[in-house]
Amino acid sequence: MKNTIYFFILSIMFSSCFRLDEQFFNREVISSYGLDDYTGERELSNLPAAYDVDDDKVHLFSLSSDDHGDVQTIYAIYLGEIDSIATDTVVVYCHGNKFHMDLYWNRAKLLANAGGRHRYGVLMMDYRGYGMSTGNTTESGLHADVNTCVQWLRDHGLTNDRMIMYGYSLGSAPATYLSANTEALSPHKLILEAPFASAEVMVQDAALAALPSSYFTNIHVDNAETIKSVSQPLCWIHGVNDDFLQITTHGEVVYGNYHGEYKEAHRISGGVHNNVPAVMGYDNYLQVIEAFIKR
Amino acid sequence: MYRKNKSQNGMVIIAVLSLLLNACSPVTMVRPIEAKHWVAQASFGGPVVGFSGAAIPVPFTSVGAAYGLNEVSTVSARWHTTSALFGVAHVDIGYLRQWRAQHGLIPGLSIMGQGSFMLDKWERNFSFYPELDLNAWWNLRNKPHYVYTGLTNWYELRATGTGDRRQSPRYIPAWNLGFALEKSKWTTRFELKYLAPFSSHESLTVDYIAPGTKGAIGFYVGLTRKF
Repeated sequence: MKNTIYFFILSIMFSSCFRLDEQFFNREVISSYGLDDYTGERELSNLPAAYDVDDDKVHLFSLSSDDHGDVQTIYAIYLGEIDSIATDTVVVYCHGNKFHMDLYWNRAKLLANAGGRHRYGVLMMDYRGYGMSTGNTTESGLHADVNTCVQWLRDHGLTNDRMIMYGYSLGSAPATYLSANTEALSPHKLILEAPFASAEVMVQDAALAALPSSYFTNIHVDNAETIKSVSQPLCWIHGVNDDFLQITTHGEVVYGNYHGEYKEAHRISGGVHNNVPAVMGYDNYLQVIEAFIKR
Repeated sequence: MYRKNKSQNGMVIIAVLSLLLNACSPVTMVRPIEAKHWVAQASFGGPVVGFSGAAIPVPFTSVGAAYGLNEVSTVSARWHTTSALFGVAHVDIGYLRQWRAQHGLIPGLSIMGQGSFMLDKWERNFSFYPELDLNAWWNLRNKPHYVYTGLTNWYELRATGTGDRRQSPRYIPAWNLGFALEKSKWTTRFELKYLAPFSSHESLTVDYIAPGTKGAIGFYVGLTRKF
């Protein structure tokens, strides 16, 4: 009997492999992108037509992304003139955790209007496993996929001084990482909207206790720590009423841990997780972005 | 009921399951068992959360055993099977002492001290959480069944959390109200808990269901077999 119990306990301990890493990523696989014709849920759904982009400025393409030998096809959209990348300033937009690029299409369009219509190029990508991008999403895969896109921009003539990295929610992880760790290019400036501090903070917020995140996931995303290695200017935007990644335990921690050359904070009253540009007012939001890029 | 629209299901799943231990302990033991007797126990349930448009109790499970040292003292041990599925060895060890038996309408009273021990196999992170429960019960007239209520007091010993942030709260209470259906060998218990009633859930990843903006309601079912 004793041996049976002992075997039972050991077998559970060493055969159990439930991890929540896969569930961390809230992906949706699709067979095509709808963009303006997409009828599903999207953020900033009330974006006025005045912020539309010209059809000839929309370029959907795929790239081969290699994450330590795991090669996948990822999809990206460039808003702007590809031939002008060698002279334009480009915002690399790393989207949030949910679904795919169609959900964030209006956000990308809005950024393409910062400083005027088509003033800056905008590159947005679906990480592996999101949208039409193939493969399974992983923490290192996020970094590899964004870096692949940056590599593409570099191949088209983009240089460090004209590259702005923008991370929204989950996208704050690759954005922060690639700002702290130079790979294809080193971003000139970093914008973080509703960043999350770490998987550990998320676990401890929910549990109300100081639980180790290793009890549930092997994901080690830790923007609160990585941001300490970022020296580029930082613009942080966060909804004060964010009910998903609360401003005090996520955004403020990331912002407080930044010790680079310049930082500015925009705490938006009434803003929740996914509506900050709308609550700010689209023009006000764009003015903040434009002013930060030009400063 | 306060409900929120949580759209990032993946992260929410992690957050929900991070409650494996937190004041979400299984059905409460409130009375000592017979001296020199064993019981086997199983418990199912957890806090009720909004998930994908529905309100569901998080299905935490545990199994355990208890032994009556004498007429007023019982020791118990519990293995959290849901935690084990995630590679976390999670054991509760407890000692219950009856303070006084029921006299008429004056309830029986007991106190239980318990420790939760956790160790994951991935990074060998160890946690210990002490707990102190105060319980009262009333036997139903001419029936073996009883109703009970009590206060679970759960303590976080770590003063700081990740990133050296100050840990708050350090004390997490839960109020419970339950009914025990006694058969000759089996006892089935149904229990409602109001978990962490002083902690706001307004800005948390998890969409806890509660009457207001604080705490969470939990629903649990327990099964006990006497030997």
